[in-house]
Formats: sequence, structure tokens, C-alpha cells
Amino acid sequence: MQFDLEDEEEVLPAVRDTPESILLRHSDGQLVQQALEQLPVAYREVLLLCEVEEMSYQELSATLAIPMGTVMSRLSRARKALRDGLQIQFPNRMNQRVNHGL
Amino acid sequence: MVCESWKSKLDIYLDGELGEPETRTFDAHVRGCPLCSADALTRVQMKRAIQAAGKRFTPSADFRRRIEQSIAPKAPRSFRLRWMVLAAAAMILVVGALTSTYMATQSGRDVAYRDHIVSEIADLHVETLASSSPVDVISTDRHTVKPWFQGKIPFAFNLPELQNSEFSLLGGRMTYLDQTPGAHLIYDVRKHHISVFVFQERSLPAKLDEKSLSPNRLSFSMETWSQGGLRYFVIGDASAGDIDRLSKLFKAAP
Repeated sequence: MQFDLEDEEEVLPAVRDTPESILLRHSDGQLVQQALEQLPVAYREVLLLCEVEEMSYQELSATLAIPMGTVMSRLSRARKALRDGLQIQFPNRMNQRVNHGL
Repeated sequence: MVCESWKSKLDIYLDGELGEPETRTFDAHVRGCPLCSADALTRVQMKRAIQAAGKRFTPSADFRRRIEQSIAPKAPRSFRLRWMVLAAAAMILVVGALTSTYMATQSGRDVAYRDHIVSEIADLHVETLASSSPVDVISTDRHTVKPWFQGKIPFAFNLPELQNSEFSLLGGRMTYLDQTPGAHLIYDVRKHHISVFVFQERSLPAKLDEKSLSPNRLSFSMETWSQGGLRYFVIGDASAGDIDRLSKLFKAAP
């Protein structure tokens, strides 16, 4: 797909293949699971309640007995911690793929 | 619009917690901003990955107790992947993602698996549309594209002759479906893009009952079949007729 001048008015999402997006696209769930298990329990807790139990911020606030602001900041920090955890594992994983001829 | 200010609220938006008027403003921004929609795509992939991993996760007793003591009942969640409707701004495509509410109302591992596969295929297709380099081998010639896959995937397949048809081949790339390697071909028909995926049937963990797939639940058309030990998926925002015609051409390829 060439980016022609005629296409200027179209806005294409600028997907640069970050290690993160490649990883998430191709990873087995085990990597993410491992990274989750390595998180501090408070971070893991808030992520699972949000994504698996699908709790609203209001419910998270009530369940964990923390103010709404803390819910949001804790989620943000937890997601960043998970991303960091995955990127540390990623270089090793890439080598494994290369060695297995994938 | 400085994307930094949007970025700080992106997670809240994707959690469905922004509130109606601000959510609409956000929708409009993401629709027009390639950086934010790319960022949103990555974050949604992360959310889905957490959800999938979490479903396998065994929580500690303390964690369980806390959940049991939480307030019930849960309010129904707004459609969380709605941003995907907007992200492919330049592409006419609108993706109706299968949400977890679907899994809550239907039972059976076969249904869950089928939806998972359809969802994965849809994701692979959309990601390609959003990419600045959607194919690894650029060629309209099937005699160039087909041999390119040799050594990269553990099977061979035939591409149809499209000389006198409305379809043209743009190229191909390798892809994975649940760790299974396969081929991804991209075709063009009247400015719509159609993806054709080919995998080895035996590498897929469970059987797919193609008759039970209901294309009208999705905003795009899809066809799938098994032939010669290979599983084919044809998907795109072209008309169902176009999808069908391309599928027939593939089925007839020698």
C-alpha cells in the first residue's frame, strides 16, 4: 500500500511495530501470565479486577477501599509495570523464536 | 491538538469510564489521529491479553475473599472495544469485535473457540489495514508470491488466476494464529481490501463448524472452509458477494 499524495486526506494509524505490539500479537498467553504473576499483588489485583471481573472504577474503589483517584493512578502504574515486565522478557523470547527457526 | 493531553486519558477512555460528552470528543479525536489510534490499538491488545491470561490465573484465597465481599450486582459494561469502530479511520472498515458479554450469554467451548478464532482473524485483518507496511512480499503475481512462502510455512497452497477478475493481489506476509504459522494474502477489489488466511487444519486445536458462523453479527463479511488439509479464511469489508466470489476462485485453484 503506497502512501500516495492523493491519499493525503486519509488518516492512517501510524502503527510502528513496537516490541510490545509484536509481542502481544504473537505471544502465547504464558508470557503475559508470567509477567502478571511477577507484579506486586496490588497491581495484579487491580488489573485482574478491571479486565477479568470487568469492575467499574466505582466498584474498584469500593472493593479495594481506595479513592477513585487512587484507582486510576494505580491502574496506570500497574499497566506500565506490566509493559515493563513484558519488555524485559521480550528479548529472550525473540531469541528463542530465532533458534527454533520460526 | 497535542496528543500528550489525550494520552493521559486514553486508558480511562478505553475502560469506558470517561463519561458521555467527553467520550464522544475522544471518539472524534481518535478517528482523526493516527498516533492516538495506534496507541489505543496497542493498549486494547494489552487489555485483551490480560483478560485472557487472567482467566487462567488462580487467585489467592485472600484475593478471592476480597472479591466476594465486593459490592454486587455489577452494572453492565459499556462496549469497551468501541474505539475500534473508529480507529481504522482511513479504511472504510468498521470492526464489530466480539465482546465478553457474548461469552457470558452462551455456553460451550466450541462457541467460545469459534468466536476466539473469528476475533483473532478479524484482528489480524484490521492490524494489516492499519499498518504502514502491510505485506512482506509485494507483488501482484501469484508466481512470485507463492514461492516466497516456501521455507517460511510448513505447507504449500495454490493461488487462483485473477487475470480476468475484479480482484488483484497486493502481496502477502507470514502470520500466526494461536502460534500456528500460516499465510496471509491481501487482495484488492474496488478499493476494498480482503485478507485471505491459510493454515494447516491439523494445527488448529479444535474443529470449526463453518455453518455456525454468523457473518451478520460482524461488520465485515467472512467465509471459511477446509480443503486439502488446509483451513482458509476470507475476510474483508467488501460485499458478501465479493467475498464469496474470491472464495470460489480459491476453491477452484488447481
